[in-house]
Amino acid sequence: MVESKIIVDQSQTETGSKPSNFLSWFKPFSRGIGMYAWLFQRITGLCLILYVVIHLGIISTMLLDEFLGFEAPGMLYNTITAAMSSSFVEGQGFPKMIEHALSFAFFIDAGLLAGLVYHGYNGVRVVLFDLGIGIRKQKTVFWILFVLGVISWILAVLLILNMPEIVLAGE
Amino acid sequence: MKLSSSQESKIRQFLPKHQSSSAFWWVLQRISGFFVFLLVFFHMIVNHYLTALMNTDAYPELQKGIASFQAVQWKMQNPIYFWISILFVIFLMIHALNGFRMVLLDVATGHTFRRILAILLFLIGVLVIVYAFILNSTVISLG
Repeated sequence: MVESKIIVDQSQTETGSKPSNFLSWFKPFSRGIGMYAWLFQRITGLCLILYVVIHLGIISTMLLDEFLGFEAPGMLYNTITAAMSSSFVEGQGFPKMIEHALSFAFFIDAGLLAGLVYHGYNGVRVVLFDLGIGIRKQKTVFWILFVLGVISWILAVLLILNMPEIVLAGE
Repeated sequence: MKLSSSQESKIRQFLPKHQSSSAFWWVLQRISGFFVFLLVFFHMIVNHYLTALMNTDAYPELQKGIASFQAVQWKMQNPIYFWISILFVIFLMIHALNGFRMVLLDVATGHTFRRILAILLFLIGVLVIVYAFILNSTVISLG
């Protein structure tokens, strides 16, 4: 009895959670906008954790040159980032912007920025509600932040498209 | 200021040693989230925008591109950048691992499992922070 009470107190979210409730996260009907906001917060959070692991892995290749017998430090890392940011349609006469948009790095970057912007802006919304600001106008707050997020994402993507040497995911 | 006993017990929930309550970690998730928000912005702007605007004639380290090893090494030699990146890793690890724990708490029951999970994630966080420090220091000393 005491132990179960401790477990309920430890949970940072809803009480009464069971493994069998897991699938009900994805139940699509009769849900409000807040539920989808919460679901995407989780999904983007998990994806960003995966990204951080890959990111640390790629950065760690900086240490491997001596071990693998490359002559100059950083050769492996430079090769990996160059390969990731190289275009699929290199040298086929496309405009620079389209050429850059059709690369592995750009897809990862655009996805990463979308995840970051969503997770960050929805985090702002959650903190606002925790402080008791704007709870009565939940849906309005969500859509205002959503529009702001889309604007930020478009600005960021235009920035990396206009500066082709930028390799976000490479680092 | 005199606090009533119910107020005192509420405040006590925010102390980390009272592990039967997660209020401490819940607040820490918000605080670390705020710092991660700021530091991600800093990370992106400095690494991918400010360095791209710099004159490569004055800074030969940037000639191989802003994401190259030489550019990273050059940035790491700045102690402010070095320590901000360590701070970034610390806040990121708090936020990411506690967030991961929150997700797992929703699908996992069992007191023992939760304790092992918490200890394991704490150890992973400490290891990653130490590793980040070693990585940053090694990158400076290479070549």
